[in-house]
Amino acid sequence: MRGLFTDITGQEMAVGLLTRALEQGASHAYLFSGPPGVGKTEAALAFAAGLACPEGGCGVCATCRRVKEGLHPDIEIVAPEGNFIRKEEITEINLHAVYRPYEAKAKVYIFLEADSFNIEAANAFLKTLEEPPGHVHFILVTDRPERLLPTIASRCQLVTFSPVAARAIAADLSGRLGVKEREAELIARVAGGNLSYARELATSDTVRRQRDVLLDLARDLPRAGLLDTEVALDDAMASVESREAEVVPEIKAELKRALEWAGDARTKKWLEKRSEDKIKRQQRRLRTQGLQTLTHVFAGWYRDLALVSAGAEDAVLNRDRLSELQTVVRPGGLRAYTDAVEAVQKAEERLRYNVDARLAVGDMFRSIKEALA
Amino acid sequence: MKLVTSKQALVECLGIVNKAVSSRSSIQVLSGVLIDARPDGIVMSATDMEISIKAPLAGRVDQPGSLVVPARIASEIARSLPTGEVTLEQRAGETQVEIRAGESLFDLHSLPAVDFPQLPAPVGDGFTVGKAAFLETVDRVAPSASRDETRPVLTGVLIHFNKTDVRMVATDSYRLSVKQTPIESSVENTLQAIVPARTLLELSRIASGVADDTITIVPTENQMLFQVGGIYLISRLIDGQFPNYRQLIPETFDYEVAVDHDEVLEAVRRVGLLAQKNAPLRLRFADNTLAVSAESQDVGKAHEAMPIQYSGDALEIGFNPEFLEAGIAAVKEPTVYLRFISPLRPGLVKGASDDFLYLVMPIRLSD
Repeated sequence: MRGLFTDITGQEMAVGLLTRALEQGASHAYLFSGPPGVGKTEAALAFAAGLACPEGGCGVCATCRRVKEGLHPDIEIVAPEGNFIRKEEITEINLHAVYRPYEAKAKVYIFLEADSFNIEAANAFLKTLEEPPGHVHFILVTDRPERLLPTIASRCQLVTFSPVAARAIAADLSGRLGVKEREAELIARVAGGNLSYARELATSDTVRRQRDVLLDLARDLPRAGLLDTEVALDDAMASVESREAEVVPEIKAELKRALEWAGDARTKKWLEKRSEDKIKRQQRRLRTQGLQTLTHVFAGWYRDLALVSAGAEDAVLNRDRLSELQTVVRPGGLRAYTDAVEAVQKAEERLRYNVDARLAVGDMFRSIKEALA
Repeated sequence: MKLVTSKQALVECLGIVNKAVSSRSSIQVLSGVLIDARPDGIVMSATDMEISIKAPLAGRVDQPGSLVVPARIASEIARSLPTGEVTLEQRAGETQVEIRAGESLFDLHSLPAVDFPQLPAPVGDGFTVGKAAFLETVDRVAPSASRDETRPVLTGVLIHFNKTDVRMVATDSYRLSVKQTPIESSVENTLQAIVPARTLLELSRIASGVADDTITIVPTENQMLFQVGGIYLISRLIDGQFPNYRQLIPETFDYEVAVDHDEVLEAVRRVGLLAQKNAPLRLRFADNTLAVSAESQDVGKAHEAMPIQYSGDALEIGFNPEFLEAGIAAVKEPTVYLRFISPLRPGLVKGASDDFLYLVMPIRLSD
């Protein structure tokens, strides 16, 4: 079982719980909950491999490999169609769950964005979720557990994933991607527990540039005039959306390959629909991530200013910007800076619900300016 | 991998396994066919998780190996090739497979065989049944099974084996077919299972093209393997309680009419053309005449009468034309017997003996 969770960094609690479950007999439903970018989906696939594997999760056999690559017929990955996981999908699962697994030891359904069940789908799912056939396991994955219906959440064993510790992130970056130690430490601080964001910071120029743009905006915001603030808002929102186009080419290429293998016209249409949903889903993910990056970078900047104003330079996150921080800091501004951080946290809170992102960010800008006026 | 076969063999083999290829799967490899070339022979396999088919491909293996090709394109290529020898070759380290025949050359993307699912391999003592009688029973009963997946049990055919007979039952809740066929079989005691109708119709298609006289059946708890002429068809079985069909068939009927099979079948077909948009086909029995009629609003109406032996009270009963036609067509005898109780009770279609029964629900006539 050793090999199963080696790719999951810094989730000792969750991995420990899952390993024990594989050894002692797994429950029929799990809710993998935690912030984005900390390895929930990878852990779900690895856990599914453990449930399906004839050796109880060796991590290396044909079954384990195919499950982890999403190629195993007994492991179904369910994701929202459009914005929701719909009742039709659940009806199909209810019907098919009763059949024995095709070749594996168990049949596993992994629900991505499990908070997107619409109410009909959730109700149709309750009975199967509560008493599935013995060979079936459900893994619900979400980074917004508060949106799940309590009737669904209460039927699952909760597995909590936490933000990854900076030390673990740094070790991951230098061990896996060969990032130099100093840079790895800087990125680990900046990433705020989001491992996949840290990996992107280490590998993608676009992502690094995005951070620089946001830091500049945070730096200049207090002094910006009314018009400049609007421009800053445009820039901030553009940075949030900047990566949405990134996912399209890869998914389109994947669709092209799939279409070559497809049988009839109906299948092709179905594949095209699925591919569109996948693009939407990835873009939604990137957008959420973009907004999180935005608030994270802003909060980090004002927090750093607060620290510098209190003379605690050692603790700043954005070490690469230390001289700039020292230039713009206002002595005695501790109170104002903490107010600014609070304004960001309030916006973060709002953005977890379906508020208009631009309005929430605009309001955040105004509150920050007020705090620092 | 390198193998040499013929166009004909390739087309036939792909034609057999193709029906098990998954049409709607998020897993690409399931829309492919596994070609496994071993020193002792070549086998092609496909699966859609419900049915899996393995069929031998006649040919020579020059270099063993295995790979997965896209089913649809491979079949289209195979059919379009010139008659004669075909070579399939994948060079070491490449993902492409080369298909050569005469002067034509195709380079096709393939997937590694290790990505293909492990086909179920039921083990245990099998038994054999006579092929012709078994398939005839399938062809007469399986079409009555339901296509509505929300009631899985009804998409299957209940099969009961014993040493001397096979009985099959299928119903979609609007009609019910039962056939009892004397078939020599080597089954121990008795055996009952619900087999998906699709499996049986597929078996019928495959087996009718094979010279063998018997089909070998290996049942396990949730799979059933059918083997005929070196081809393996493995199907999932359906769990659940099949409706108690004996209860559904009335013990006695008030009216019985004998009609000429071809005459009534053709009349139902013709007149049925005007029973559109769920309009019923009307049968009226009175004064030694059977009148078949139908009327669809905004389309038109049709009427046809034929002489019969009938002297009871006038009786008018309506049916879904397709269901009635299917029932009559399944009676393979010169005379068909139609039995009724009343216009609101099911009617029975049968031949001279009771070995085949077709029960069909009537449609309430509005006037």
